[in-house]
Amino acid sequence: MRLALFFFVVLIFIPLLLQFSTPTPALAFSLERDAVLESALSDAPDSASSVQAAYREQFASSGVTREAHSAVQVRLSNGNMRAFWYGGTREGAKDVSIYTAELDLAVNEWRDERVLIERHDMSEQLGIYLRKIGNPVSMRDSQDRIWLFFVTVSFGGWACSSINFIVSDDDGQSWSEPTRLMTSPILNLSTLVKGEPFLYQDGSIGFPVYHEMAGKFGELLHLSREGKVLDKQRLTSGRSSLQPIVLPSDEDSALVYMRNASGAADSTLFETSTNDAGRTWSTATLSELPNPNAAVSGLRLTSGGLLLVSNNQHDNRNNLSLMFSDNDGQTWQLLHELEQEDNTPDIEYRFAYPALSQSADGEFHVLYTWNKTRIKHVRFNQQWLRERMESS
Amino acid sequence: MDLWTDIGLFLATVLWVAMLVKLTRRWFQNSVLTGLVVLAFIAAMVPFNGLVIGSYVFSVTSYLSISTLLLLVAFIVLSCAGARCEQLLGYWHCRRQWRPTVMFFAISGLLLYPLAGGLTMFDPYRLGFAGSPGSILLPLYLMGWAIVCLLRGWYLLLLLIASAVLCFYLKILPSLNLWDYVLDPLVVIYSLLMLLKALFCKVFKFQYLNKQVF
Repeated sequence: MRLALFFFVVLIFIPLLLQFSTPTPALAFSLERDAVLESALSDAPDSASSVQAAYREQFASSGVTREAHSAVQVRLSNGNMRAFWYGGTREGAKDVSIYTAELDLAVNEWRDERVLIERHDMSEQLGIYLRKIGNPVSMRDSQDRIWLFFVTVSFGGWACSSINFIVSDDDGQSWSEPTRLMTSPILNLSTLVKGEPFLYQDGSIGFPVYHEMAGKFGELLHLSREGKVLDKQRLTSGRSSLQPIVLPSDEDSALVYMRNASGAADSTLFETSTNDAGRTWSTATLSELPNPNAAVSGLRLTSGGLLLVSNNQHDNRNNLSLMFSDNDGQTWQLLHELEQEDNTPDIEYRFAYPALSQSADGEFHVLYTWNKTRIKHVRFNQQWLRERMESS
Repeated sequence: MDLWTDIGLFLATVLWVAMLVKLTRRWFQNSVLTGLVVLAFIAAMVPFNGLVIGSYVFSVTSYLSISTLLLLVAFIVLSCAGARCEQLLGYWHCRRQWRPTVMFFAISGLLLYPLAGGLTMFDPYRLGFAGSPGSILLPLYLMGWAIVCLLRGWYLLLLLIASAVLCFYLKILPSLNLWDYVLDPLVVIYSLLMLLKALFCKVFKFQYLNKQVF
């Protein structure tokens, strides 16, 4: 009997040992843009020097909710942009839903604003009680599907968040049933999102997330094309770094910036980097970029330069700036202040949670929370950017 | 709702029924208790405010591990069967089987959960993903326990570990992390409480009540 059991144990553990001793194939960051942007950029009229510099601003949300927060955007196959944000009476309220709207690039108008995810409906679809809905993030994958990840909370505060996603293969006209990601050993709690996911060359997804229970630290999920969590690694540890964004520069190298929640008077963004496609990350250090405990967003230009939208000061969110670096983040120059208001004893301005993206016509778009009441949209073209770089 | 959600709801429903059995079994005979278990399963499927009761439990617990599932099912079945399964009951109440079992879950939980809060860059949960750096350590750790179980005759623990590994192969849960099949916070907290109880009884010379495991 014991001998039979011994063979049984050997039989079940040998495949397991083989499976776990085989390293996962080496990954490489994908620098290919999705088909929409690639085809558009190749003959983008904006690249011509005769194009006038253009900088426009408007609201993306119509103000149907008392508060609106945490906007993100994704390119559509017709060239337009689709935005997602959450809105309701206040952050964490039971009436908070995720809204969506489409930007018609030709006329520069936001249209078709509607509720995409409502708490009760999502609760029934997921088969669990939901107390509140939070940050969405979106991406377009190698098969031109749009993914929308969003956090939900069943009990407790944001530290008890879990991540869910829905997928659309028709540019957001219809969506799949929601799926809940398994990301944490503690009752699947405390994984939150803000940074935009990115693609590896094999089509799998890199997803910067963060943990907020007891400690606050950045993490990187590796998801399969089907949305299964294949791996999870820490970008930092401790209690003060969150909301990582990942900016790949080539197939092996990437920079990561993270919000600083230390509360220090001279707090700056955390940064870490990899030169082996994320197998290892450098020890996180403080960058030179001021950060008042606020989220940032960025993208890498085709020239290799970095654009970052951040609150360029050590405290308060009454400033939102566009920063540029042409030496991989070693030094930064201020290109433009998107917002700058002086707080008064009666009014505190808050410009936060930026999302920077590039549309199919090569123009740049920044969505951000405007005083927590509206989602503001700033749009500028490459000529305007060139002129700002030359004059700064 | 997809198949994974149904599995999660089932796990949560088993927990809900086990809790009811635990709370009520002292007042009812085995046959009544069996009826109560059936009623509890049916009640768990009754919609309330758009969700079934199992959904509310599932909202809190997420996916229970295979180990917890087996322990809960055994507890429910043996509570209902009573003296009709005397031999199994004797085995179930055997301190020799329970001590290593709670030791395993307590030690494994202490290895896994404290570091999950981000104290260091080392994340033991990552070892549960096949192919991640150092992930061979987790199957080696489990196999080590399995061999000791075999040599010492700790068959309850051996059954739990083997079942978790087999279910990991079959991908019964939506997770691809081996830890999620082996343990969860509920079985770890239970094990830690049992160890504290045993320690308390030893220190204060109380008789250790090994007949009431759950």
